[in-house]
Amino acid sequence: MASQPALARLTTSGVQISLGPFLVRVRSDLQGVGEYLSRLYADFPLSAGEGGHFDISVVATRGVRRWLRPQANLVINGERPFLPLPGKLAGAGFEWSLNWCVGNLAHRWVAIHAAVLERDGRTLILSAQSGAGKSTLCAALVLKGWRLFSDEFALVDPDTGRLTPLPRPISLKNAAIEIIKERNPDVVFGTQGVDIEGARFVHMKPPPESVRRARDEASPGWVVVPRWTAGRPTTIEPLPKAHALFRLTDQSFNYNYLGAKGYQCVADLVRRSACYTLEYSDLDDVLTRLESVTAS
Amino acid sequence: MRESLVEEQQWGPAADLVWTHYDDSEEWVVFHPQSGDVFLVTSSAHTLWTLIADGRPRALSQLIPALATALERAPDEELAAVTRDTLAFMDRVGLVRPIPL
Repeated sequence: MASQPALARLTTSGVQISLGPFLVRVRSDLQGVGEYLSRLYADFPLSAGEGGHFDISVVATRGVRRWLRPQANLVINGERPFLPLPGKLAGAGFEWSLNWCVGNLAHRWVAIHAAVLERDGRTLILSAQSGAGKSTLCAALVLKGWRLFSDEFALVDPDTGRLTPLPRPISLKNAAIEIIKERNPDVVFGTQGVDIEGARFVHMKPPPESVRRARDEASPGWVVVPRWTAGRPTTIEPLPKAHALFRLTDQSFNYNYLGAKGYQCVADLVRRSACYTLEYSDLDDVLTRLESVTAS
Repeated sequence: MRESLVEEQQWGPAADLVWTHYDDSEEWVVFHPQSGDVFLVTSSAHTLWTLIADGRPRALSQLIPALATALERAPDEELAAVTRDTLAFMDRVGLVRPIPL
């Protein structure tokens, strides 16, 4: 892995990771962070250096606690917005810090909580509450050849209406972990953990091609609101665009920070997209149906 | 929020609202820039707001027959109740503003 030597600076001056439009500086004295980056960020441009849009440190609590019950402290641009995490969650803590940075600081774009995939220059936006199967569907579509745009954020440029990629590891929880592992045993995963809400989780390494194309923007295509419901047949229904707009603004971190321009950006995104609700339980069936819907 | 709407209270539109409508449904979405809130409203609610925004302040007693005309229906008790509730909602979330009596 060509970028691995840069990780030697993780405990000192830090490592810069190029993540889509962002340059992120990360530092850590916890072994778990280095292992996490080495495993899941091996395809990303890494360099030794200081500075960046976001400065994230994942540092151990000092004193005897460092050895008895290690903790990971998340320091973001010099601030500590979170309580310390168990040390074994240090790698995931880096991801959660990144989420915090993009959701709270990236006002160059309208940021919407959603998974985004791309094919033939058009994006498929999956907007759902936690637990609705968004990331499972995202991972399964990636394994079917869709380009991973982002598992967490739709970043929409309010000047052009185009979407900017932010490919990062996909966060899978509970049964979705085994479902995706069974679909492709060759996929690389990070260390499995249990989050502070008691859910099992693991991060899935993004495909190298998605990382390589992390600066290739795309146009709006489809907005889908999925919901996984046990035992239900797959149903895809048109979603009135007014409802889609209401939903996407509700899921946006910062449209109101950008004022009318941010709102109009989301309204135009919806205008340019075909919008659907989706209920499913069978992953193979829903993939077939989505292929059909997005082929038009 | 006012406890109840006074019949003779006159109303005007809030400033700088951004309304959005798509062809696939009759509903409207409105962005309230001062609060940053977004609301999904019915076509009738939007019509009521346009009556209030047509340039002269209107009282509830004037709005009910005007809305009935716009919607081509009778100004009956049901319409009066819906108009009162909708106006109260728009007052509560800031889509309309009371004009001082």
